[in-house]
Amino acid sequence: MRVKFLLPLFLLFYSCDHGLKPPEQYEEPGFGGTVYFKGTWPDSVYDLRVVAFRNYPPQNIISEVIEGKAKFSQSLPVKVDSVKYEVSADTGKWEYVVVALQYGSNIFSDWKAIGVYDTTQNDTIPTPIYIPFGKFLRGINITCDFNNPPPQPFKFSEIIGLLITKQNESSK
Amino acid sequence: MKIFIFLFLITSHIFCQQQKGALTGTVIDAETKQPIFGVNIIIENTFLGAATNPSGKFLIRNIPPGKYMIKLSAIGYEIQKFEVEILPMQETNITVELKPTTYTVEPVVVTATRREQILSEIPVSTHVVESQLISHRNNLQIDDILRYVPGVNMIQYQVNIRGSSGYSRGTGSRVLLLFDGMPFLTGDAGEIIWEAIPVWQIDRIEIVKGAGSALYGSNAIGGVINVITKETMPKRAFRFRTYFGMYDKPYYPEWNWSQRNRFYYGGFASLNFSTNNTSSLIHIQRSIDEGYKQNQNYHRWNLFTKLKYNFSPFSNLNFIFNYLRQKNETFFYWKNLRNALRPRDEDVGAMVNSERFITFAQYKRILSARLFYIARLGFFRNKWNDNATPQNRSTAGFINSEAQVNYQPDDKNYLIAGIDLTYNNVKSSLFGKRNSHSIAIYFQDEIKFSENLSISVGVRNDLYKLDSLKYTGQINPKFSAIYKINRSLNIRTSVGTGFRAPAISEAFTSTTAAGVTVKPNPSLKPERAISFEVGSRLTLPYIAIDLSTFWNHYWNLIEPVFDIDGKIIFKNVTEARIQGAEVGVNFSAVSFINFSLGYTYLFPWDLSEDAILKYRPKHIFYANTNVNYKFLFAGLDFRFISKYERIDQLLKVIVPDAEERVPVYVVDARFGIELKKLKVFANVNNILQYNYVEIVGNLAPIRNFNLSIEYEI
Repeated sequence: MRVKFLLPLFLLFYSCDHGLKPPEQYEEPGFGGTVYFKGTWPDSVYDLRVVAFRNYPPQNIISEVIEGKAKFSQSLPVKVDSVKYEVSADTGKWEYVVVALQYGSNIFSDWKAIGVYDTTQNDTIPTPIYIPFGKFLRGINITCDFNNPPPQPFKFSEIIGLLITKQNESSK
Repeated sequence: MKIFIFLFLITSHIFCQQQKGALTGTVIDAETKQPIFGVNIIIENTFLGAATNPSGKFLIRNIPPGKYMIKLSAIGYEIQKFEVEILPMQETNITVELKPTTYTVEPVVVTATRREQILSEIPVSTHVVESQLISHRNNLQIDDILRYVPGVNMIQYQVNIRGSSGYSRGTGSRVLLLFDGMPFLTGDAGEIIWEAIPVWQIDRIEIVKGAGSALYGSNAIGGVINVITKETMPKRAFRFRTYFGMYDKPYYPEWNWSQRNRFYYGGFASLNFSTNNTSSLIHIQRSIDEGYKQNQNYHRWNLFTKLKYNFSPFSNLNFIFNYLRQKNETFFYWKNLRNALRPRDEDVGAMVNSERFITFAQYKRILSARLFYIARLGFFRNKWNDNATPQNRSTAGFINSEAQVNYQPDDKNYLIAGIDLTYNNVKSSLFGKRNSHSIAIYFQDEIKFSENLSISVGVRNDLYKLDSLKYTGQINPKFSAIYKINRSLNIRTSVGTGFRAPAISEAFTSTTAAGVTVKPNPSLKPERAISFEVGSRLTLPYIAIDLSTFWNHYWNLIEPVFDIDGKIIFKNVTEARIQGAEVGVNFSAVSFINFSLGYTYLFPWDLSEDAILKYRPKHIFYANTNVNYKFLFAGLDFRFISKYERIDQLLKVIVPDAEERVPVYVVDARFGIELKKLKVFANVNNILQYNYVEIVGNLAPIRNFNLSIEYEI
C-alpha cells in the first residue's frame, strides 16, 4: 500500500525532464583567420594585434575599452607575408575587426589601424561578423596594405594603448 | 447649480445629527466563548461601522434611529447578519456569537469599485491573496506572490494580467500598482519596484483583471493591483522574523560557477504601539541575497511606518512612510546557454545603487450615515545610479493628490465621485530634464434595481501633459452588471476602456547600452484598450467556482523597434486582440484541507503583423493545496505556463541563445508549525529543479530551501 502511494511521487521526481540544458556540442566562441601584409613594413613595429569591437562607428569605443568589452589577439609576428591569428570573443555581433600596429614606444598614443575586416570593395565600412553560440568562426581574413592604410577611427591610438595596458595590468 | 445641491446635501446631513443612538456590544467565538479581535461590524446601506478590540468589544455612535441590518465578518468565521433597532438617545447593547467556519470566507475587496464589497458581489474578475498564504510561502517580494494568481504571469519583473503587458524592458507598466490606494509607478520609467513593498506587512493583495481606467486612469490598461497593508493594532506588540535560505547546486555541472553554496537571508522587526487616539507601526527589514547567478546579489534595507490618528469615531488620518535603500548587481542576460548562470563578459561588475521612498497622508471623514469623503496627498521619490561609463543616473519625484466622495442618497444608489491630480518631475542622464502632469475627474453610480440585479456605470476624464508636448485628453467609460440567480449563483458582465500615457523613458530615452543605441520619440501617442467580460460565480459551502470569458482589444501599443538608421526607437506599432477564458475553483472537502486551481486560456493575436503576440503564453495553469491541522500546516503549489511562441528580433541580436525557451513547470512545497506566538516555516521552491526562463537569456531561480521563524511578543 505504501509502495503504491510513493510510486507516483517517485515518478514525479525522476521521470520528468529538467527543462533547459546546456548543449552537448560546444566550443569556446571566437574567431580567427589569416592576416595578409602588402607593401613595405615600417622600420619600427613595437606591437601588432587583431582587435574586435562591438560597435561601429567608433564613437563609443572608449567606453567599451574601459569596460573591457573589446577583445584582441596575442601579439603577432612582424615582417612576414601572412600570419594566422585567433581571438576569443563572446557570441553575438562584432561590428569592427581591425589590425592595430604600435609604431612608437608610447603605448598610449603610438597606434594606427593598418587593416580592417571588410569584404565589400565599394565602401570603407567594415564588415561585421556574427559569432554563433558555441562556435569558433574561421576564415576571417584581413589584408593590410602599408601603402594604402584604412581610415583611422577617432582616437584610435589612445584606445588601443589603453586596451593593451589594461591587458598587461590584468595579466600581472 | 449642481454644486449647491451637493453642498446642501452635505450640510443637511451634518445638521441633522440630533436624536441619534448608538450600538455597542461584544463578539465571542461560539465554541470557545472567547472574545474575537478584529471582527468587522457594518451597518448595511450606511457608512457606519467598527471593528472589535482585543476584548471583542465595539461601539458605533451617531446612528440615526431606525431598523438596520447589521453584518459581522471575520476571517475564519461565518458571516452573520441580523436586524437591530436603534432608538433615539439610547445605547443598544448586543452580544454576538460567531461560528468558526469550515470553509473559506469570501474576502472583502475595495479596488474593483472603489468601495468595500465581498468578492461574490464584484461585477469584474477579481482575485485576492491574503496575508496568511504570503507568510506560509515566505515570499520575499510580491512578484513571487503574483506568480500563483490565476490569469497572471510574470515575465521577470513585468506583470501580465491575461497577457496584457508582454515584455517592455522595464519601461511603462500596463498594470497599475497601488500601494494602499496610492499609485506606485516610478516617475521616470513608469515601472514597478516590487522590492520596495514590505511583504510581511501586507494584509491582502487585490488583483482586478481587465481595463480599469474608468476608475484609475493611465496604466490601468490591463488591470489594477492594490497592495493593502495591515491596519495598525490598538495594542502594543513586538513581532520579528528571520529567514535563512540556500540555493541548491545547478542541475548541470556545466552551469556551476561558484566554488561554494549561495545563500540568502534576512528578517524584520516591527513594533506596534498606541495611545488613546493614535496607533502606529514601525517596521524595519534587512534582506541579503548572494544570488544563484553570477553578478546578481543584492543588499537591501526597508523601513515602513504607519500612523493612524483618530480625531473622532468618524474621522481619522493615516500617515504612511515607506523607504527602500538597495545596492544590487545587475544580471542583464546570460553569456550563453552553456554558461546560463554567468552574465556576458561586458556585464560583469554592473551594479545599481537606488534609494526610493513613498510617503502619503490620507484623511477620511464620515459626515453622516450616508456620506463620507477621503482626501490623500502623496509623494514618491525614485533615485538611482549605475556604475557604467559614463554613469547613468536618474531622479524622479511624483506627487499625487486625490479626493473622493462616497454618497448614498437612498438604498438604491451608491455614488462615487473624485478628482485626481499628479505632477511628475524627472532629472536623468538618459531622459534629460522632463516633467509631466495630469488632472482627472471621475464619477460612478451603482444602482441596485432589485435584490438580485445591480448595475454600475462610470466615467473618468483624464487630461495630461507630457513635458513640452500638447495636452492630451482621454475619456474612459465603464459599465458592469451583476445578477444573482439565487443565493449561490450569479452572472456578471462588464465593459470598460483603458489607456496608458507614454512613460518619460519611452518618449525621451537617448542612450547607448549593450551595443544598442536608443533614440527619443516625443510624438508617441497613448495606448488604448477596451475590455469586455462575461462571467459567473457559484459559491457553495464547500466549493466556489468562477468562470469567465473575456475579449480585450488594444490600439497603439508602444514597442521598441529598429528605425531606418539602425537605432532603436519606441513607436506606436501594434494593434492587438487578446481573447480567452478562465476558470477558478476553490474546494474544501474537509475543514482542514483546501484545494484550488486556476486555468486561463489566451489567444493573443497581433493584428498589425497577423501573428501571435510576442511574449504571451496561451495556457496558464495553477494548482495549490493547503492542509491546516491544529498547529501544523503544509502546502504544495504547481504552476504551468506554456512556452511563448514569439520574441522580438531585437533580443535575438543582443542575447545569445535567445530562442532557448521551454514551458514552465514549477512545484513549490512548504510546511511548518503555527502556534499563537511562535511560527516556523520551511519552504522548498522549484523542488523538481526545473530549468526555465521567464525572459530570454535569464534562467529563473533554481531549487532553493529556506527556513523562517517568526515570534510575536
